Amino acid sequence: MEGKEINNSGMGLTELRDEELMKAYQLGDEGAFEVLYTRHSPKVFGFLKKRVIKQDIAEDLFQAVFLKLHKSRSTYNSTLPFLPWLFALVQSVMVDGIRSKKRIQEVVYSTIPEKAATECGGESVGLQGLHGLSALSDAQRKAIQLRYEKELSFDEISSELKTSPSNVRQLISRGIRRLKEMGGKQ
Amino acid sequence: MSIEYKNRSLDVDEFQEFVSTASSLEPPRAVSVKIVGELRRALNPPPAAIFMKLSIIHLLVGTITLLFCPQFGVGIFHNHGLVALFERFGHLGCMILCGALFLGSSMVVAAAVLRPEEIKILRRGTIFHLMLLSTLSIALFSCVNAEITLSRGMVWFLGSVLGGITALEFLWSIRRHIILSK
Repeated sequence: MEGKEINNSGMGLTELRDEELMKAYQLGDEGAFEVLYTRHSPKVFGFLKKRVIKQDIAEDLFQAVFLKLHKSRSTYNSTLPFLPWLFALVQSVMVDGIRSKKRIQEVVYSTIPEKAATECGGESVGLQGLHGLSALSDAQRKAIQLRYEKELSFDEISSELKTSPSNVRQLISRGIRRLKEMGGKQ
Repeated sequence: MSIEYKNRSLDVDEFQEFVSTASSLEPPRAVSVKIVGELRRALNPPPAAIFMKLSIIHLLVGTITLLFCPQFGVGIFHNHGLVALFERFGHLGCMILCGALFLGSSMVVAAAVLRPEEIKILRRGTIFHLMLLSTLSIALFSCVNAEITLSRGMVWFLGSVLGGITALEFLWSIRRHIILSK
């Protein structure tokens, strides 16, 4: 079986089992991916939505699941059922997402001077109160504030800052790295 | 309760919930369009980018083949290498085999290292890609004063294209078999 042959047969990728579609997808068949996406995206999104309250975070994780599916497709063993593999992928993306969010919050909040944190009521302090942020570039500071204070998605931030979403991700990760370094020096 | 799946422990209840999650929870259309569009682009890389990769592979592999098989008198160690062996098939046979080895070895490496979707695009225009690569190779050889005549060049060209197609198809069929038998 080959992806191209499946496509040309016209008799429906939709009739194939998930495991067969994954084989075709591993050979680069975009049609196979689209059928898998149509078949399973509601499951994935519904599952994430039940666990993540914020819509934009659920959407970010949902995108991450399918990007990870794409990157890991060569590791899939088609002798094993597809759904548990997908579920394991969803779980790992969720865990990574939660970890990174927690880590970022830890890093950001760890830069709050103790006195200011107490005065402002601990974690409820605004990001403007962070001394560390003043050491960042304007763009990095603004991107971090929009992401973690206003909780905007990368797309929203990119239109706000008039730059690409990938650049926004870079600005934030560099900013966080800088804050971490500063935290390490204290 | 949990089950083991590829060394990972999956919660059965959560998995059941995942499997039975209502299909009414469709993801937002904009998100779906973005994901499908992004992956469609990833699965259809631009032919120019693939040709660029192919050229780099050919530059490296072709240079290595020059160590033991000079083309049009151009070699690295100034030895005759495989030419003596190929000459047994006559002068034309030698030119065909030299061309086939020169492009074929690059296509073997390309079929092994390029991503499946890149090979898919490459195979859609194999002849065009190989003709272009052979022409560029001949042009490069003539820049270093190779002894190229029209007839020799054409026979070599034919051998390189045929050798390239055969090598790509052969190696890809092996790789495809490996992918599918996993």
